[in-house]
Amino acid sequence: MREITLLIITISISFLGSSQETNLGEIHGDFNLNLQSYQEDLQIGAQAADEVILNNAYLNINYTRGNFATGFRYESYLNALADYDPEFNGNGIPYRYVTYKIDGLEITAGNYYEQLGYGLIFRSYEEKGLGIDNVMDGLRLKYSPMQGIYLKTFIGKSRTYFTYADGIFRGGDSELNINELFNSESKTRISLGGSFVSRYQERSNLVFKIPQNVSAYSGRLNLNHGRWSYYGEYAYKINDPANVLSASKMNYASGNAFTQNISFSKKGFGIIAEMHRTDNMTFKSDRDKDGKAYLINYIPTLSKPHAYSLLALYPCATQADGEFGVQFDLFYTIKKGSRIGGKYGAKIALNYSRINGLNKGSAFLNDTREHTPMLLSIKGEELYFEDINLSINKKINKKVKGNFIFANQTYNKDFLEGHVPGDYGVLNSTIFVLDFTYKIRGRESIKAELQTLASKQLKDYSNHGGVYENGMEEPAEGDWGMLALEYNSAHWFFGFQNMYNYGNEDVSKRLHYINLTAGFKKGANRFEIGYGKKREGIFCVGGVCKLVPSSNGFSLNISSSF
Amino acid sequence: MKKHITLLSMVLAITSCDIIDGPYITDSDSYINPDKKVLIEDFTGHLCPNCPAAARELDAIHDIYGDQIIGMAIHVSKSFARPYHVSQAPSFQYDFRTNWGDNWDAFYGISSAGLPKGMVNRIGYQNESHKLGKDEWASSVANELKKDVDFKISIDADTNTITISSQLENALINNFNLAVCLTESNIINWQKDGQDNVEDYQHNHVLRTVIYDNKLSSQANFQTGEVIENIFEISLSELEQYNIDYSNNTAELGNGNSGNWNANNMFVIAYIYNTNTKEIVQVEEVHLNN
Repeated sequence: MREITLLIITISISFLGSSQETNLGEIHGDFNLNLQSYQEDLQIGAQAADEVILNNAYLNINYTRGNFATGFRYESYLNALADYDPEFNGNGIPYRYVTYKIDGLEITAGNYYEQLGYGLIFRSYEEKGLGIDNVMDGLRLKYSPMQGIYLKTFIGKSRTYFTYADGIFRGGDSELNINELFNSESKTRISLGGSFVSRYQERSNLVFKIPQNVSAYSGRLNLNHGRWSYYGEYAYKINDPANVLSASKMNYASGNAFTQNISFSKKGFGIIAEMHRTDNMTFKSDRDKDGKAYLINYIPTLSKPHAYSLLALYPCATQADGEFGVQFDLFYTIKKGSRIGGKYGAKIALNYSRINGLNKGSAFLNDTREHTPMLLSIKGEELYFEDINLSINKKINKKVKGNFIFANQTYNKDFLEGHVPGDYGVLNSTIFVLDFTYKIRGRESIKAELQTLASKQLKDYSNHGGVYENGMEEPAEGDWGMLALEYNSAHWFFGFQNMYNYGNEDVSKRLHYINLTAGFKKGANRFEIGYGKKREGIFCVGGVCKLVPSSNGFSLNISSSF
Repeated sequence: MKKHITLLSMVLAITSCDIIDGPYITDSDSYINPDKKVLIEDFTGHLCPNCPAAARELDAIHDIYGDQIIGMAIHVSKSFARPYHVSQAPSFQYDFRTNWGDNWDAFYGISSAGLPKGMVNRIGYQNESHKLGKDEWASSVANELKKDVDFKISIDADTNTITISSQLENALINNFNLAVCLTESNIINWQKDGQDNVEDYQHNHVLRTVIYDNKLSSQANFQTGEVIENIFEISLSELEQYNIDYSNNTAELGNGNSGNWNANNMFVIAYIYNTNTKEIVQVEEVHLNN
């Protein structure tokens, strides 16, 4: 890898060197540093780091000149932050690429991110917040022989930490944009796509047959007609058993997934209805490994991503192994000057989502057992997550605007967090958020946020028609309250936040989690220091989640770009 | 170029797919479920001349399958396990029998059919084929080791407290009992072995006591992933005294010489069995101080 990196840098420099030409191209970059100290705090279960401070940092450099581009990213984890996998520890250049485009053909060598459709069968992406980066290393070709036809094919291995997983991926995708193809101005716009990907991994098993080439396919359709829009995708994966010696864990069933999304929108009004189902669709870059670092496909979450802390306290993680979900969204803008809307109008958003397990679990096939779950089943199935929330966003006067949210969430903590059934049961939370921003003058403003969460443990587990006999084994976190204050100006910002777990069943854990931040930003540079305590919790982006350990300490965050 | 890419995609599509049809197992004869453990209850007695051969067979099976095989030596009956009269001291003075061993022997009708005999996971109780001669053990063990498991058992034990955690691998209706026993190995004492009276025979995994043999849980049914925890407070000296009293007062021709337990050589065996079929569906063993 080092040789290739050197080669790319050499090519970049030689391009820069030929400065006689008028067009030298452009260099852009960005830098991010996240440093955190870790002190022990027995009350919240935070552990001290042996290194005292841990640090993640990245520097991206990209050079483009006409149809040519190259770049690299230097990453440093000395050592990786506590919510990162320690496998990251070290320095390196895990990302470097060269690409050029000519006559509709784009060739990329080195690293590339790629997604086929929604990602149901393949998604190579980076999400620093989750510690996910499964970038591909190999070759990718994209070709558009004519307007409306887009083809791509790739081969490569996917990154895990500072190395590459065992599986070799070969894939292709074609997309037809009917309107572009026939140069149609029709109100109805249609685009069709088909994808294919295959993983090769050399494996043998003493006892069981193992497929060395595991492939997955998907087809998609996107229709737009006036204010209506539809997107549908279906994916299929052939048998992809684990590589173990226990017959009961060898599952030869194929996997499948679909997602459907229909929406209508006009000025001031929109509705979206979505449905998805996954069954046995976990696709990994190494069949022998577990953990999100090895996931190579992506099932988008079917619940609303919340930004407010207490709304996101119990987030929904997508179950690629099997789930069925529906989601509805309604957006409505109350007109300015109307009786309810007042002088400035108001925005209302209503969202409902519900996700449950498949009938008697996901598909299974081996020599002694075969099970195919019903295609659609909701009633009586184990509930994973349910969220109904209403948000009203309103400007009150020239200086003040407010956001009000009410939500009721049901969260199957035992299942979604992998606890023993009956430890925590299913949580039902009722959440209120009040958020006011007061504009002092210019870019100077104060923001106040008040949030409450009232929680109860539900004792019945729907799919077994019973209740947990002896109640919950573990004490519930119970009710939370939160207050946040923020000051923002052109250059300076200060923040105070206190999350108070006043309802914890364990009285010794009725704690305040206070966080203080202060920062300065000027131009393209931003500096932030902070001090605080973080609760152990689940953090999700788009349905992919990680466990964040509790921590107590100082932080320094620097970001910069050019 | 378009042609090339289309061709490349087609080649990939054709060559990159290994759909496998059943049977998925390549060699079902040699298949072993690594999570399955098997209990061999070796009904024996120190006066039984053919019994050491059965103990050696148990050791041989253990050598093949390792810790997936758990043995228990249960000394039973007046004829095979009584201690000799004190006038014949020092030979055969120890009484290895226990109340539980004698009860099982009576219930399953083992020694009355002649020793050595054993049960492999108590398979075959319902059709009276559970009493196996030592030469039948190995094939029965091989069959048992192929079975799927519904439970995984883990044991945390010291001389005061024993915690048994039984994790459900599948959703089940509860018709299961849990039994928790203590055995002792490396007891050097007399044993008849063929024509010989061996003075320093090493008795291994000898049943000492049964701490619990009752319902696994009061729940009506279980769900996958659930863990049932059973915690037992024990007093080794009280348990030991119970055996001494049993030997003195109840066991036929007993002499009360059932003590001198050595906690350093003791093991906990916990097993779950179906209350209808009596089949032992899972078993685990750890050292008493694990």
